[in-house]
Amino acid sequence: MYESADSVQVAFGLYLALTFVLAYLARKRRGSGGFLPEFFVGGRSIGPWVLGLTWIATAASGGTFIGAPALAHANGWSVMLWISGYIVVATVGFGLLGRRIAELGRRTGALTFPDLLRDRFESQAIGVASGIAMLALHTSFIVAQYIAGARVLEAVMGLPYVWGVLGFAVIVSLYTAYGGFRAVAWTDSFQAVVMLVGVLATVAFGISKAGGLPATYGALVAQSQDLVTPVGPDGFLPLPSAISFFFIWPLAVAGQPALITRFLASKDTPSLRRASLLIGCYILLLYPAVIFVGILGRVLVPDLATGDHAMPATILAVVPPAVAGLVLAAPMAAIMSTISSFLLVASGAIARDLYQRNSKQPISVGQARLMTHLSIAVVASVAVAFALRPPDYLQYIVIFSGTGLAATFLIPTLLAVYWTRMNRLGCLWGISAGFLSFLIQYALYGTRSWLGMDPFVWALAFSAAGCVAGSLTSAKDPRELLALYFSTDELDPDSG
Amino acid sequence: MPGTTDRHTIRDPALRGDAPDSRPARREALQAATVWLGALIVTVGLSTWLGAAQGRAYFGVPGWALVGILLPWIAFFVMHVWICRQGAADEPPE
Repeated sequence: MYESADSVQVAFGLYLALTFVLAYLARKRRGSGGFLPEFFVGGRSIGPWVLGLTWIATAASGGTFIGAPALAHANGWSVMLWISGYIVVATVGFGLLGRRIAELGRRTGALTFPDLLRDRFESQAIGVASGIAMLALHTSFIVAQYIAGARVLEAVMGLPYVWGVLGFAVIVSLYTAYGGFRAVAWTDSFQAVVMLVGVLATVAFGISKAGGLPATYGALVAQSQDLVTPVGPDGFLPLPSAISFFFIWPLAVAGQPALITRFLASKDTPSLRRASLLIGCYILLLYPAVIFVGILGRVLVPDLATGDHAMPATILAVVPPAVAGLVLAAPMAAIMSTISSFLLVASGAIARDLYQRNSKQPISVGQARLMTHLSIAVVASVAVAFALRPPDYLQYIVIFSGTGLAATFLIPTLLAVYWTRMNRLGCLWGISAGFLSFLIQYALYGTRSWLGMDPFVWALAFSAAGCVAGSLTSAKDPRELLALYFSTDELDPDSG
Repeated sequence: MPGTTDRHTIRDPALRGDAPDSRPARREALQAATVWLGALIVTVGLSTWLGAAQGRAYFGVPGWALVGILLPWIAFFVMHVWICRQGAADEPPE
């Protein structure tokens, strides 16, 4: 535990109060388009600013704010290369699927990511399989966020870890269940602003306290020359790993169902494009700054109880107590915004994809509401149970669950929306090959699979092979179904 | 049925109109994939090459990180802005 002032607790309290006020206002603004469309995609009315900020607040998780600075604290400048894939996250995250998913969402009325796949192939099995995979991997992602949040509270206030986990679970579940997607998007937007301001303020105060960047560099070299190399201490980032992470960051984001859901909620394509511009700018400011915090922490607070304390410890060491509480809200904001978005997607997997769409009878609005709220409670409880036994480095759970989701869904989704020959069997084989090859490689080789690359890279290749092999060895989808997704010109290229 | 939730069916007659052409979106996806590949080669290639030489620091930033990561980051952001503006040109009216 590090010394903290009462102002920290007051600022935390203010931050939480504002979050609940926003959730309340968002619920008041809900549209009249029915409970489920409102709860899961905000009535498809989200404009560019909220869309961009909720997208980035969901993408920037406890991993970004707790895990990445912890790695930078341990490994110095090499972590800048480790995270450099973020250079193209906005371009790839929106460019690969954004426009197409948004168009199809508005056309087909899909509310969740499995809705899209299930309808594209008219397959209940695909809806159920993707719902289960999403539930499992999103729950493990939420576990990582609870751990990150509890670590912040432990470091800052000395709050016992167990109480921190429970506090996060209750607070975020309450406002997510209360306001649904719109509340999550509004609170995310507020949290994204808090995150950026908090990190930039920490870097400014930190550089000043360390005596400038050249002095920081000199202090790092005095500790170890390896802290300023691209590979880092103890061979932290060999070339195959650096290449792997350039696959992981942009492609894991592009294939992340919680982020694809944001496209479904967008008002129109121009909103999507403006949101993408905003995100490019935001990422350019945020991510190098997050790594700077870890590097500054290595110089200013070299001894930590656990690596995950790097961000809060650095904030407390460099930011004046009067404003430290406000700045400390930044990692809290990152964690809460990700938990709320993932809770919504995981509860959607239960309530919408596994229950409502498999129910033989239409279900009432009251039943849908009850089921949705119960799903949130169940997912939160399971995640709490796992979070009570945390590992040493949070970032590894974040990478495992984030890359697992993308390894499973990215290639099948890309081919489903762009390739007319892709069919149901191809989708099932692609999902299974991506998911299973990812798990098997992790079990056999850990994070360095064949040629030293991350299992994610090979899982993408297996998934693509599964999609192509399954599609080409079975009949083409009926034209009547394809005509719902592709224009006549695409289906009959010779007719024009 | 009144008071119940929409079970959602893709075969809704309202969807019988022409589906959106996927080709402009596919072109954007290919652009994004090309940018990603270019960034991978520039960033990882330059950082590894310059880092191997144990070069000097500029303004407290290791040379390999400045030339291999931070400057390309700005350049690829400018390219991102250009791609967004170019994509807006072929948007259908909504």
